[in-house]
Amino acid sequence: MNEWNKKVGRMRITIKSANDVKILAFEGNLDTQTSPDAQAQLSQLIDGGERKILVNFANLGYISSAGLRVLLAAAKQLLAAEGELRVCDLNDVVKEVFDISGFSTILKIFDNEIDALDGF
Amino acid sequence: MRALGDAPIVPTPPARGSAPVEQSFVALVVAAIWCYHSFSGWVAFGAPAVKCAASSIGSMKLRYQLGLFLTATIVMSAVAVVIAILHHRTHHRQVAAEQLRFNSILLADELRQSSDDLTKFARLFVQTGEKRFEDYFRQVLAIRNGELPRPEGYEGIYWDRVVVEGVAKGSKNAGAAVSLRERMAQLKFAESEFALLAEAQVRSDALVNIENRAFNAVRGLFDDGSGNFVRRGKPDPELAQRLLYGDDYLRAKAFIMEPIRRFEESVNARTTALLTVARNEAASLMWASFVATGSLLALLVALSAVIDRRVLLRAGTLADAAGRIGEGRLDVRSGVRGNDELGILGATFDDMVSRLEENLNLVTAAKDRMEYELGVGRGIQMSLVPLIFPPFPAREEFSVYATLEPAREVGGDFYNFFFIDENRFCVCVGDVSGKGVPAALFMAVAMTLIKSRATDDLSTASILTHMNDEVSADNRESMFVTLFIAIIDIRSGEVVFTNAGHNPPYVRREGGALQRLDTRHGPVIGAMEGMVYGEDRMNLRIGDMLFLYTDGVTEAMDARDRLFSEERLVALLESGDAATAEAAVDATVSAVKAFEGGAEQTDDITVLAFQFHGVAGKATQARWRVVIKNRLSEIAAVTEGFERFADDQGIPAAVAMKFNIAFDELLNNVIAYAYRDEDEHEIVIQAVLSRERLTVTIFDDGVPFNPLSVKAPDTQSPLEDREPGGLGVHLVRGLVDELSYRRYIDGNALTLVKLLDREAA
Repeated sequence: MNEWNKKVGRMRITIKSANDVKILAFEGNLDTQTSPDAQAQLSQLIDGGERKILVNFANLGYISSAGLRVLLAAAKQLLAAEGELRVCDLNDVVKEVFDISGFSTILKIFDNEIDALDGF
Repeated sequence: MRALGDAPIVPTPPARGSAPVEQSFVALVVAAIWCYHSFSGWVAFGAPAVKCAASSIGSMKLRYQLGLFLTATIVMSAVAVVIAILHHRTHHRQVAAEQLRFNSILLADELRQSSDDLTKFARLFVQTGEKRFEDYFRQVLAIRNGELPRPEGYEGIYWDRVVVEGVAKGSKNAGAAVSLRERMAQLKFAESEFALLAEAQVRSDALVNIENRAFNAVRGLFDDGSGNFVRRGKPDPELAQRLLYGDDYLRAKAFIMEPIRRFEESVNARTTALLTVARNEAASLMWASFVATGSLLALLVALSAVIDRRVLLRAGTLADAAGRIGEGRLDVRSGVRGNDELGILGATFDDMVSRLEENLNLVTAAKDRMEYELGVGRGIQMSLVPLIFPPFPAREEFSVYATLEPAREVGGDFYNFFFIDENRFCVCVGDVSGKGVPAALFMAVAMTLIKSRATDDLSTASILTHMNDEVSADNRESMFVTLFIAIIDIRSGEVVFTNAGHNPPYVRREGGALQRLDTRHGPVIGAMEGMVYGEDRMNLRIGDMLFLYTDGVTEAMDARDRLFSEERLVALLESGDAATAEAAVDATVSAVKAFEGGAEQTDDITVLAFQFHGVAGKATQARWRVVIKNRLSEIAAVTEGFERFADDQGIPAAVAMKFNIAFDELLNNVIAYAYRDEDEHEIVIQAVLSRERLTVTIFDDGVPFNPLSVKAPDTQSPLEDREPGGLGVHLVRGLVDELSYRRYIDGNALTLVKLLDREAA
């Protein structure tokens, strides 16, 4: 059994803070099923005044276009409020999806959380 | 003795020697005046009359018109010459008439003068008694009667000088001895004038009697009573003087002068009349010459008008029309008409253009028909060849891909592939001679013959031998087809093939090494009945590809007429761009199109690739299948099921995740958009793993929808401009190796292929 296999069909989001940065750690897959939850979480944070959000995909299995749309919406929302969205710890499949979709060029992607928090 | 001379009086009519000339002159003058009046008539009646005359002339042929003008010009010129000659002659006559008048008056005057001289000498002799005066008296009479020669300078004061100087000194008797009467006859004095002279002579008798009595009285001789002077007496000069100065003498003298005066008047009147006629003639001729010159001028003006209006203007119109027609305007007509040469030319010209236009219309129609027929032929051609790929998505043993790019005119390519039975697959590529409907029908016959024969004949040699006999037997059109046919055992990869006059195909070994199948097993199909074709066998190993094509590929030409050539094809096939059947076909067609550039494609381009994926027996094939309802909540069952299958088959987790993304994207699409009703539908997902090739197919019974036709999003635009949507299919396309769509009668099938590279990994 692969690790990601156990997370099929469900997703858990853990939120922690580092200074003024909110760090969201995704566990599971970000697809049509789970993206509404992710959307709700992100909106709640931004609406609550958060301007610096780091999404950690270390434990994400895969992401589909539904998940990409959630990220796109959040990034646009923060950009308009002079905030910023950063992403870190992408596995190969997610990295490939980001490359194919062109998201690699429009979102700030970092190898790990430490790099991402540097200068945030 | 005072006679006027004995020369006979010859009455002569006035000079009429030029009567015929005068008549023709009158005729000419009449003609000239008529011309003049006609001309004035034209001027007076103005344009209508001119137009009427012009139209009657205008209806004539041009050469007749020009001939008419030329004739008129010649006639008028001749008239002018005659007038000039006549004028010249009239001038001479006028001069002659003046001379005649002068001479006549001189003669008449000489007559009167001589009469006075006689009286003068008679009186002098009587008074002086000098003998010389009597001699002078006799001389005057002798000269007048032509008995003595006429001295030079006799007119005028000859005798006055003689009386003063005695004998006329220096006077020479140069003149001939011609009587005055004779000289008058020479000058053609009139009969009536001579009658007057005769009368004068008669009247002079009285005068002569008196003078005789006077002369004799001086000599002392007197009349004896019988008229003879024989009675001698004493000379009596006084009597003589009384006689010559007496009233009787003066009366007789006056009486004799009367007819002489009338004679002078007559001469004067006659010669004046002659002179007047000559002067009138000269004036008339001058007028006639004016008229002739004016007529010539009018003729020239009319001629230039005819040349300008009837020739130059219409020739210009014709040239203009010809120019425009030359530019392709076949609807243009000159409109030049008439009975003359240019009118006939104009009508003929317009008629010719009409025929040209008709012919062009016919040619255009024929071309349209030919285009239409070619279109029908292309339609038949394209309906005969299989166009849906992959044609057998469930078969994992091979992949086959083909393309036919029809040319606009020449064509006749075809390809075909079909299962003969469960394990034998037939592929063929051919090129029919000719084009249009006949070629398409011949192609249909050829394809039907191949397929029907192949169902129970596994020898390509046998199939083509029989087919050739069938086609050649009744081949009146002498059509033929080049053909390569192969039957492949899809379990073993063994190939039986026959090449009937077709381009040698290639075998692309896995990795790119090429092998050319050079053997030709016979001539083109349809050339000759009774030919026996051969066949060859070879083996395809896993990953090997059979590459068939027609000469439209290698003989494709660029704008500079260079051939695409087999070298370019070989280089392309050897490269990594031709690793799969679809890639090899697409790369070839793209390379040929790029090579041609803008040049028109001259022949059909046909490429077919068959790739052998190896024996995938039931034992070595893993299959997975799941059926779900059209609800979003069902997607999880697919991903979970597929993950288990992938886990079981050792498919890498990354590959499985990519397929799960694909399921998320594609199943969402199907459920959201494929159904127009609210009913429950089934979606079938199946996966086949054959060695390193994972094929997943999604079947749905929704409305026709090809997700591959959705335009890819712009993945390079900045964040602010990014719009959601269209991203899903783009992602899937990027994540798998092959993605294809096929529409069935009752549903859609999307096939995803991923080549696993587990050995390398």
